[in-house]
Amino acid sequence: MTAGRFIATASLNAARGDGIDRDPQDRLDRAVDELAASRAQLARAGNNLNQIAFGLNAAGVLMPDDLTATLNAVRDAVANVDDAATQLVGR
Amino acid sequence: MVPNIIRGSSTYGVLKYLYGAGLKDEHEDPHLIGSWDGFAPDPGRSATATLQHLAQVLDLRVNQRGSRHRPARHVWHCPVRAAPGDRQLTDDEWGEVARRVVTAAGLVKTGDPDSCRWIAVRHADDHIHIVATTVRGDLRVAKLDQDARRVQTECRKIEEEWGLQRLNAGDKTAAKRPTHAEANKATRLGRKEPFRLGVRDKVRQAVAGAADEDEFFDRLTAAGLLIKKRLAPSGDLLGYAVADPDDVNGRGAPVYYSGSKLAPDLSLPRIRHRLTGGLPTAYPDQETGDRSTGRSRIPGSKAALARRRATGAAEDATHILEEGDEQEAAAVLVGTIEIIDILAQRSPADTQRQMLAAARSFERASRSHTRAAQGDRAAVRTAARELLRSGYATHRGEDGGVTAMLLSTLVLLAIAAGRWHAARGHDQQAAAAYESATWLRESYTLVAAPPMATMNRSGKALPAQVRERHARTVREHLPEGEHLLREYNWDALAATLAEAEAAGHDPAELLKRARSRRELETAESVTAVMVWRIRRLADLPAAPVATPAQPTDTRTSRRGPTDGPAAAPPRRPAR
Repeated sequence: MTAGRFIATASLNAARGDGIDRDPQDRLDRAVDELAASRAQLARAGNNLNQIAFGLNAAGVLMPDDLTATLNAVRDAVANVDDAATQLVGR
Repeated sequence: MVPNIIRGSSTYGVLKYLYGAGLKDEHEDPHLIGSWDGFAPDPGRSATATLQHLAQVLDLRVNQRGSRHRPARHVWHCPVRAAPGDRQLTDDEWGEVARRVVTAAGLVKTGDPDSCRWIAVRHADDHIHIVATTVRGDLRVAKLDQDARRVQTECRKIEEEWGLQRLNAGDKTAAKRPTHAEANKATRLGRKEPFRLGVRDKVRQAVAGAADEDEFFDRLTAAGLLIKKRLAPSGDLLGYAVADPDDVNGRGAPVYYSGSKLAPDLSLPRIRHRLTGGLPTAYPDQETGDRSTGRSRIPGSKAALARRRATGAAEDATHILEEGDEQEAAAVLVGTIEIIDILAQRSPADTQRQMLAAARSFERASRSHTRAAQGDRAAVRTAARELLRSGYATHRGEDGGVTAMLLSTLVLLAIAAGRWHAARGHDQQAAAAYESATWLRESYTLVAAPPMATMNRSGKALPAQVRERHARTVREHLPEGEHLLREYNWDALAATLAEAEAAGHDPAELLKRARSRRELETAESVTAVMVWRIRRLADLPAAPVATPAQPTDTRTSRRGPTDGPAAAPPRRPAR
């Protein structure tokens, strides 16, 4: 988003008195940002799981099936988020 | 650890190369070793992930900006290669390298959720590829000015912290290296090196010893280069570009290289800076000979004479590097590359390879951010000019001896240049100067072998008591005399002292003078250096014929000092 665009949107929104984006491009940008934020959250959770797996492995404990399943679920979720974001921006 | 930033416009294209077989089928097990959040789809490990998927995820923010606002070259690609001989790093360690590199480049800020997306791919033991897209999460383009410099600095830091080979840091004064494409072209055409290197040599040789701009351009033409001059509307010359006539592009047009693209100091303004101030008038005629008797005061051809004088200039230059101020030293370095360039150009076939290599190494050592003041390089450049004007010298007889004399001095000069740079933290220049010294020493060894052998023979043939007398002098007057007497070339030194004595010089005095000229700790053979210095100080022939005690040899009787006038010839004024 350019500075000019931001100012224009912000002042229009202030004049209208509601916090809703009316410009479709703004709505799209906001959605993509949300998806990117979700991806970051998922990745954070996934990285924690990875570290647990690493710790267990270092301690010589066999990895529990639950952990593997959860990690795969995170990966799938990330892939779904990526697909959604790709579809939103087109191409 | 060597990073190399390449900018491109196709994320998919670079991924296809990285995950593909490679140009020579050399890629092995391509996989991700790091990414912006650790969860980028990896086509090398996951069955469901595809290259297209990975490209789309990386390009998300680029595409979000829309096709109209897509930055021109949004792909930031940076292979990072370990130095040959480094230990093999693990995937985790390479991942850490990648993280530090993207952070140093300015693509990623710690704790910034809007940082650029990046991945690091490994498909070989010794290097990784980092690929990033330069559009940030807030859709602005990342500020990447000076990214190459910052990434290089970070790599030097990693080398130091991890105990890897520490590469020499640059200072942006290096000459531009041939590009990948130029190297490939050379291979394709079956040439042993890219055109750029040869063109650079020719331009450097054309400026060496040149008196003015016109001469420079004449010599470029004479070297067989095509010249394109850039003129201002007023008709003034602004710059130049040169091309090798054999180097043509796809349309058959010659490929021009502008001076500054060959080396920073070969741009027209910098060449003008070097040429201003002109050259002082040549040496006084008197020194060349005594017109009344027709006797040349110093033996040898015109070329030999020029080389003998260049030796003196080079010795003074070494002195300036050790004690002079910064600007003087910078001037000396510029003058030195000119001398080496001219010698390389004029070198007979046996040492041509070594001299060219010496010039190419010293070329790097001749540039740093310390610039020479205008017209400050008089002595060394005058010597270079005289070398240039005096024609060719062979490696036989007196010519060869004098060339050895000059090379012996240049070796010490190159080492002094290396020490000068090292003391100022110019790592690349210091390394280049030492490398140059190695090449110069190799040429020296070739050229000096015959005259040294002759001198050693003469030394051995001296009567025992004469040898003993000179040994005593050496022991008395030189701190390291004992050591000298044990060196292989002691016989040559004895012969030299005997000749000097016969010519009316005081050996003790000569030894002291030769010794006082700079310390000799860097010399490989102190005796050899002393031999050449004494020969120069006493104006003795550099390549005496064997057994100078026999005046029957015509060459000796004509040139040699043995049948010289009873009174010693007037000494050259002390410098």
